[in-house]
Amino acid sequence: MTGFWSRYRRNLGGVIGLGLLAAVLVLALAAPLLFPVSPWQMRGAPLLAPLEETEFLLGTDMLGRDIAAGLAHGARVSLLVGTVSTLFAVLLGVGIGAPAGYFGGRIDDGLMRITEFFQTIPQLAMAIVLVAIFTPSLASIVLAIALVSWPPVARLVRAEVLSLREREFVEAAVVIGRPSWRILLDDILPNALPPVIVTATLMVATAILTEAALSFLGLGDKNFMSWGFMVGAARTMLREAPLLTVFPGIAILITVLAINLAGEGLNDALNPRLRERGE
Amino acid sequence: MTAAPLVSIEALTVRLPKGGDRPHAIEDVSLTVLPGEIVCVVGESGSGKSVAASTLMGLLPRGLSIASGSVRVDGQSIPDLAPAALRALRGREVSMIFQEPLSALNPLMRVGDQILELFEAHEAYPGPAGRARILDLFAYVGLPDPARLIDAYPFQLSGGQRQRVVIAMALALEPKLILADEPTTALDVTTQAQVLDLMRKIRRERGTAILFVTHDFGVVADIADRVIVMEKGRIVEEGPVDGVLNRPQHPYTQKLIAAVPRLRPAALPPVEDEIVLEIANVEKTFGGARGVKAVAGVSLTVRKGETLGVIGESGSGKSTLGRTIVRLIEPDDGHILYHGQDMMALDRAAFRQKRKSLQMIFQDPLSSLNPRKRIRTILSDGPAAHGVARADSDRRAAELLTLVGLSPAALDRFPHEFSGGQRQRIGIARALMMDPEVIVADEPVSALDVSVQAQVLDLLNDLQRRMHLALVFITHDLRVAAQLCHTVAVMRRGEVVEYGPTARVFADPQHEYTRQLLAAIPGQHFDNARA
Repeated sequence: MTGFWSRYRRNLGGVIGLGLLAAVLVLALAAPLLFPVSPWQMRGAPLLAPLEETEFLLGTDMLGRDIAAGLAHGARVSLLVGTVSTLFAVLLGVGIGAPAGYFGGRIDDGLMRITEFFQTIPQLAMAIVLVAIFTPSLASIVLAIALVSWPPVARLVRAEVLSLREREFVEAAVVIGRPSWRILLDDILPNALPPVIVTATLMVATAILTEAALSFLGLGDKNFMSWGFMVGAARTMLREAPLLTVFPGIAILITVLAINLAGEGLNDALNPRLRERGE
Repeated sequence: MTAAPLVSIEALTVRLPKGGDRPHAIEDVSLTVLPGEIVCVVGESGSGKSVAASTLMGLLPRGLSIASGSVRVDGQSIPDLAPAALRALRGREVSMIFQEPLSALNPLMRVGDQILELFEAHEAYPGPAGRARILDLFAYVGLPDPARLIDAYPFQLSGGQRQRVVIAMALALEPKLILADEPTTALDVTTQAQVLDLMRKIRRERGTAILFVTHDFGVVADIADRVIVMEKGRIVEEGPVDGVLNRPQHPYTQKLIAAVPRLRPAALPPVEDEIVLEIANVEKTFGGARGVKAVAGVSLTVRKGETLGVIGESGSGKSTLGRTIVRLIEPDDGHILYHGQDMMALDRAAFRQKRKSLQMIFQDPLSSLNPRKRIRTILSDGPAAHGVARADSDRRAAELLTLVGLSPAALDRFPHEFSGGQRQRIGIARALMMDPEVIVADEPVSALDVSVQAQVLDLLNDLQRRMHLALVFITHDLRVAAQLCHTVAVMRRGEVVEYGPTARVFADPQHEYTRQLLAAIPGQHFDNARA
């Protein structure tokens, strides 16, 4: 494990990303302590500028709600939706892509047709339809995002498995008598992992954006404050109070960037064949 | 030694990027090539032999730079030339032949057009003269039907034809010097013999000097006037071919030459009577009914303690045959009998129980070990699949690592921490973990340097002596076969054309193709002189 960390540290971007991500995570976890009052509560005069009243660090929105509280509570939703939906999407994508690549033939044909079916429908449109059907809730948002974002994972895993399957170490695993499922899980998948991890981190970022988009359109979970809702609610005040959209926008930007940087660092660290990089 | 040298490299040192295993790619290297001379630079991988050649074209790989010394070709100092002058020199004064003709040619361009491009760049043979010149060149390098091949794409040519196109391109502007970097390594042995003939003819008829980089002493014996032996970036020995090959002075050269497998079949441990493996009428066709017959009705037997050499060129079906024995490929027809029991009659689950007796050693020591697993896991996965406790297999793994000449400390390391030869030893240990009776070895030494190759062959010999293994040894290298195999089967286009005891096949080949193969082995007279 120490080896892993020393390799991770070599990537400066990864360290910065991890730091930012940790900060967002701490903010999300500490939100109920820092801002015990619900972020939906109207607590001050509307449209206070940042620091106009010391109680409201980032000011208030058009209904007098605390922006800082909204950002902190919104971080919980963004991170939760981003990671959980990506987790489901990766599990689904690996579960479909890996057998397709390994067994080939009819299994491959069948699984890939399903994948293509999902891939031909525009992601956001389908997510909107799914959330609308299931009625907006945290669970339905997570499910909808997972259902629209697994096809690229499936295709990627399939391609990786296809090329790894031809490698001699896989043939060696067959020759020593390992059963197919063990070869797939234990010999092939760990080698297919680095690109999947990088894709997954990108997907967390995309999922956060999708959740923001859904909330922006009013399809968010009304029980939870989210960044997308804040941007969407403030859009009518774009000219009078631009900061209302800028703050949640920056929060989305920083989180997405941090996740991407951390993902890249993770990829370098997970790869035991140290990639020599030209200076 | 009266003529002025065409190439003179003096006290040349080339720096490697920081953080490598040594500071210099080549150090204090001095060499000359006279007009019309063939000089061979010999060395193992990492010896710096290719770097030395690339300085002559001003084509050092990225990250490498000249630290000191001079490089002169025909009086011009290469490092001091302006880019335009350097471009004019390349192709016209000095040209190059690469190892892999398929990647040296643009796959989307007709081969004739690729040479016309060279003429355009150097403003030579304008208009119709260009095509006429190419037809001349193609005829000269022995390409059949030049008028047709000039409009062919690289994929439509065989490996040997592609290399002839590359040679024609190298000759196109009548350079004074040709750099040939392992030009025959990717070719089959019979094609290699033809290409070497062609290069000798070019030197004889056109007086072109050739700097020939190779790892193969057989090739050196056939083509060189002078030999330069390099080790770890330094020249350790230099001299006329006869002296270096037959009376090597430097211990490294002596070691390298001693490691070249002899052509005369070696004395081998006796074979027992018990038949372990029988292959009967095995057939395999790829690509449907009209596809290529990779294996066409092959029947062979292997006894306990016997090494059967399956010899053939690329595309002969030898690897396919090896893979059908361990059922990595399912044959279309025929039987594989292990101790008389037909393995083809078993279903997958039943055959998996038999797998431990039929093991395989792979060609590429890099790709045959899972890069994400420690050696401990790589070795014990097999026994674990057959229900052996990890603790027991760990003990066995440590024993076997010692047996194949590695330290048990290797158990906790990853494959990338080992050299090619060490990885191949691990691959052998993995096969032995299963206590197999039959091992199929598919070109297990062809990716290794000659001195490492000799060690691995010794190891295989030794293991067989101790364990009475039945070994199916697949190789393209007849020298290796002569050292290791009791019997050989020569394959061509999926068929066994000759099958018999190694000594008999080498001394008195019955089939025309076997005779061709034997005649094509490079450096025969050199071998005979030593024997």
